[in-house]
Amino acid sequence: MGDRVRAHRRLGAADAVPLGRPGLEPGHHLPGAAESGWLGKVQFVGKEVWIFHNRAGQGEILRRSAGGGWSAVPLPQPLWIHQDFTAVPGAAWVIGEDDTGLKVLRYDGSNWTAQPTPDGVLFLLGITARTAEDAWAWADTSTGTAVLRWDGTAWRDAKVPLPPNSNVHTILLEPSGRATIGGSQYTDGVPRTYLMTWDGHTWRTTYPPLNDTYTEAMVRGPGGALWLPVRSDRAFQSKYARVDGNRTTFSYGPRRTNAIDVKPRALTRAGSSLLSFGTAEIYGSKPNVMSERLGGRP
Amino acid sequence: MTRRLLAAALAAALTVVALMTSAVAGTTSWQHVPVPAQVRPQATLNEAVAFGPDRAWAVGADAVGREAPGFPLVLRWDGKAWQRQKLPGVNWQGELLSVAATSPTAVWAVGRDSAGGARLLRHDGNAWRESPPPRGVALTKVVTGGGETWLIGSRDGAQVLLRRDGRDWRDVPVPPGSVFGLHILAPDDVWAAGATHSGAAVSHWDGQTWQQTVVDGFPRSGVSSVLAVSPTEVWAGGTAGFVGGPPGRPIPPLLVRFDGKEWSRVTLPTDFGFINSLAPTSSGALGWVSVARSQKWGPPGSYPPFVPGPDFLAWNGRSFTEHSEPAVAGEGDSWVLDLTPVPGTSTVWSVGRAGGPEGAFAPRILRYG
Repeated sequence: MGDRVRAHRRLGAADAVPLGRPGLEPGHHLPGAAESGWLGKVQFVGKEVWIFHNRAGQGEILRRSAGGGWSAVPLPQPLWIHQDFTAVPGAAWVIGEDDTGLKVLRYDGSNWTAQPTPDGVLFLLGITARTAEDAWAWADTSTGTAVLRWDGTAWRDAKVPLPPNSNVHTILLEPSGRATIGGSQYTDGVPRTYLMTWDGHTWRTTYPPLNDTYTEAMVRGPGGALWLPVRSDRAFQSKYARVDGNRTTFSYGPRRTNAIDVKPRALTRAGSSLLSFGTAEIYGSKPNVMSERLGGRP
Repeated sequence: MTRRLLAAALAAALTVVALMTSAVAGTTSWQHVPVPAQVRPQATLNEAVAFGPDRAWAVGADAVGREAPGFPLVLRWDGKAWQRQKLPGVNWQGELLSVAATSPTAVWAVGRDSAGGARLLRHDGNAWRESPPPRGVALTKVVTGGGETWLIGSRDGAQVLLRRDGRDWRDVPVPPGSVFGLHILAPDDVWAAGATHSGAAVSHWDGQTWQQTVVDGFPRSGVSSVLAVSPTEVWAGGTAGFVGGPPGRPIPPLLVRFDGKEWSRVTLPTDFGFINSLAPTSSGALGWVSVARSQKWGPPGSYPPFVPGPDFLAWNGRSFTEHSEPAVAGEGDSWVLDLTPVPGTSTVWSVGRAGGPEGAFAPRILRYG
């Protein structure tokens, strides 16, 4: 995990990043950049960058070598709309569905294998990994939401005591073994965000004052606290929550002249900085990409 | 030489005629008046109150986001331009919905904060200050008249009316249904515009009881403005309601008139829209009617089948004259046209909001005269 930076977490098809945009330097074109498609999660794998790419409906992993050259690893089979991806040194996974049902595909650097999931798993919603032998996935099962874990030999129900009537937005894994789950618990149909932390021995569930914040973009910031974007109450500034143990504080991004909506979508830590990427809508223009930074060099 | 003098005199005469024409044109059409530059885009104005040619207030919300609430906005007219008024101590987010005054030193504005709480501001002639709102009441409007100040709101979802009594707000009985607008002539002579399950309703308060009349029985019809010119001439305007139809199907406006005996529907020179506001002349007669989203049927066979209708209707005692709002570069038509007459003049303000670029909106101030 130490060499894994989430520059972009998964974006849905509706949030497709256009490829083949003018401005890419010659010789650095992404494979398939001129075709329709979208980019998903970006992961550092050793000194390489691996990106999930849906290219004209077909999934593939784009690999950027330390030297800057690009190559593509096609998926062994087409998968349907909802797909997620994770990669660590020695392994990559792609989840999705085909005509026969859900699929977990693992790539070991040279071959793909399809991995079975426990009985009762209906849909796989997301996947993340700490090492080639420690991957986690969250799923809808016949008995509700469940967290699955790959221990190097099989996918098993991790028996995580999720709150009743809850779902999982994301799982954050760290080299230390700590894991953090973010999700929503529904009471009378009203969602309330919860966080669960695994210290290697026990799960601790908290309900920070986040209302119904979607935690998918949650990251561990430079100071060790959790950071996540929240719905801003100001038209011209983004807003972030910082969750440090039992203490939750909020802060705003930079003021943006004439903005009517600023939405961070992905966070990542880079050294002593917290980087945020998303969209900003300036009055009179369509929403456009934005980035902002907390800390680090001025 | 004589011919030269004649030519010069003719040219001068033509110039005078041209100047007179433009001056007349300037007073006989609605003009766009810009909001101050400090107001952020996507602001809105909801209501104004005027005391004379050089003093008026307008209220609304500034810096409204796609999802984020705005900030209370107060503008002041100084006779030349609208200025943004600072509101020291007002540190909540939300919107000012209504403004009214019994005098320049007793101006009230009601609002709603982003948590849904009622907010009340008072201007004493020097500064705006927060005033404690009546407990447990969500406020929508403040109305003054006949030396009275009343609030329209709801308590636990039930309609309430409150009257300023000394330093307190006291509940006044309410007519059945909803109340959207009031015309207060005296403490015992108040007209209320609203809606009931039976349709649009106008009620009269004589200090003891409300006498209510359903003025239009069409489903979901309602009136939000009422103007009592005399006991034998009362006007009320709103919407004629709807019973379904395809999305986007426009709804006809509703204007009704009371002659002292019965209410009757008034024929309007527009087919669709909403009667936003009724404004009196300086003598108290009906002067102006504003129609938000005004549309008429287009020529047979045209698509879309609608053409823009008049935004303002001037009443001369016998008939309406149609007026349109001026086009504003980069903005669309008005959605809200709230009228405020300037006392002692024939000038009328219209404040509201208009369509902006990319589905946004913009504050809109217009002036006639």
